Amino acid sequence: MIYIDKSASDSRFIDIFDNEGRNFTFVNGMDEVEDSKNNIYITSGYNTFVHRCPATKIYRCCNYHVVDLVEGCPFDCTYCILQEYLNHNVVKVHSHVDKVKDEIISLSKKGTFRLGTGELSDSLAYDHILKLSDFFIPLINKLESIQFEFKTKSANVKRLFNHNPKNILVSWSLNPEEIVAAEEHGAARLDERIDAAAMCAEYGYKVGFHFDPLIYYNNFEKGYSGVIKRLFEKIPEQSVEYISISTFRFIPGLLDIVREKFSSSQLLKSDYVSTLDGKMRYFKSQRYYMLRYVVKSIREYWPHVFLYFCMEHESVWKNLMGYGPGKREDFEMNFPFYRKFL
Amino acid sequence: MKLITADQLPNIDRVTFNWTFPENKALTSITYPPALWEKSGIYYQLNYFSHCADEYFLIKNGDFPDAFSFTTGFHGSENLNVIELSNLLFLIETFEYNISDFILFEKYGVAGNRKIRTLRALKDLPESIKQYLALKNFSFKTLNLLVRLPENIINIVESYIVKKNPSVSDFKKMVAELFDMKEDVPRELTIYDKNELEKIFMSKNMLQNNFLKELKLLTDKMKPVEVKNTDNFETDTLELSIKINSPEDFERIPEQMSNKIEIIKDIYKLMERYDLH
Repeated sequence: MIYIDKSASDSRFIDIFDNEGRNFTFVNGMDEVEDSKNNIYITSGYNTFVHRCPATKIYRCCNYHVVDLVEGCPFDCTYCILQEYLNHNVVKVHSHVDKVKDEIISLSKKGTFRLGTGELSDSLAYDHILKLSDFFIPLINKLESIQFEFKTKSANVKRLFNHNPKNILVSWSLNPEEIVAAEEHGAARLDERIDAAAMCAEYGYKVGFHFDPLIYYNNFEKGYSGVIKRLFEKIPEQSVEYISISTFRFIPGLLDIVREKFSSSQLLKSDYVSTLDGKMRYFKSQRYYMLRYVVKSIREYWPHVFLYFCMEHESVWKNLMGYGPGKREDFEMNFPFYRKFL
Repeated sequence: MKLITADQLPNIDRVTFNWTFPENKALTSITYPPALWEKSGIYYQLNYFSHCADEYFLIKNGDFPDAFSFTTGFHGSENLNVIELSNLLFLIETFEYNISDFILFEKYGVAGNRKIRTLRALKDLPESIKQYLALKNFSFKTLNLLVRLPENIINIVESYIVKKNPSVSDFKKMVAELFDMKEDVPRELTIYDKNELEKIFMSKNMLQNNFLKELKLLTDKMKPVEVKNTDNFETDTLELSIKINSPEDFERIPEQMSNKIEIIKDIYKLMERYDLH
């Protein structure tokens, strides 16, 4: 169901829904909306929509920027931090797209940035309803200094083929099919994601992949090497802009939520240690094992594609990548998008 | 209340309201005649549950909440254990009332479906687990995991309590480990077997456990110097500490330390082997 806050009655989404003949209901506030992942709530609440992805100094990050226009996701991944971070299940959409537009234009004037919508939501899961790709892609393609990433676990890419792929990257979070089935509830199957990526690459979009979070399980090696092999078979290396890799990490309260909601989750079959930023992670030796395995497996097929770790310790970078990432702004310059500005 | 004699009462139910736990906690010496509450021709005994008396007080014109209020008021509701709360929940639901109709549960922090579900399920646990829980004070988080364990694992918990009478923290840890690994515990394992369970729990983090075992062999050789890493080996910093009781101790330590360099080297080699240095 779609609900629109009365204060957002001038929202562009109303025209979109009307044109599609979609039903929606006006409400006086979020408390009138059933708090379900199947519901969309359009609200006029103001926010700072564009900001830098949070990071810590100890576990190194890039300088990615995010647009938080949508908060919440219809998928129900066991490991998702939003379960702890957001206080609602409903997918909340801010109606002030003009403000988002202003913030993106303003960011583009400050320098060159990579930007994406996949922090607090799945970028494409509801694209057939919200049609945000129609908003973002033409806007971004007018701005030379922004690369925009749609990060998804869906195969909902149809609308992307109405647009020029110029500065747009479409990326998928990937896990072996048994992890997808057990832990990524409601998301597209692995094959569907890879097929969608192949279609996007074929159309001319740059594509990216996120092996994040890597989850350790009995079949870890076979599972992840299988995913990588399937990628190699379907996606040409030159279409791949980058691949991120990182192991499962979480704020301590998450496991209690997992125990309550997903009592047979694979996540419960491992122990974790408290790390220097307060998050729980696999013991460092275990992380090394997992990261090394995945890096090596990718390199067997794609020797040149740009790989990076998300929120990993500098020592891990140095040992596995051969260099430390340094400051996030400096490291950011290693991403392929920046090469054309050099 | 009206005093009536037993021969006027063909049908006294002494079980339904017997919510105190353990049972011997209920008052045994009778000061006053027990109280009864009548509904649909059945006389429910509200106190002194195991006693048959010659005379009873009958609560006149009372509804279930009056009977509930009498029985909890009589036995005291200030210090109920979780099994008693569970019994009381069962009682009110037997009479088709809702937990929100009784403020007593709120006083014990029982609110929300999850806690209510947990409380309801406690009633069906084996007697020895209930007796253990009644004596300790566990959070609903632990109780919720406990009541969701499959039957063979509940049997293990029962056996664990009988064999070990564990502390609150040990029990809490055991329940969480069993819950997380429930699919990996063989169905035929129905008693507490320390070695068997340790093997299963160790599989959660084989690398760390193996490393720590090997490390211990080395750090033991460093005594009296204690070797510690305080960040779960996220960094390779080791803290060395000594305890002294005299200046002589302090003088002796450097001598003992001089031949320990090889052990330190071995520790760092071990850390390197585990990607920790």
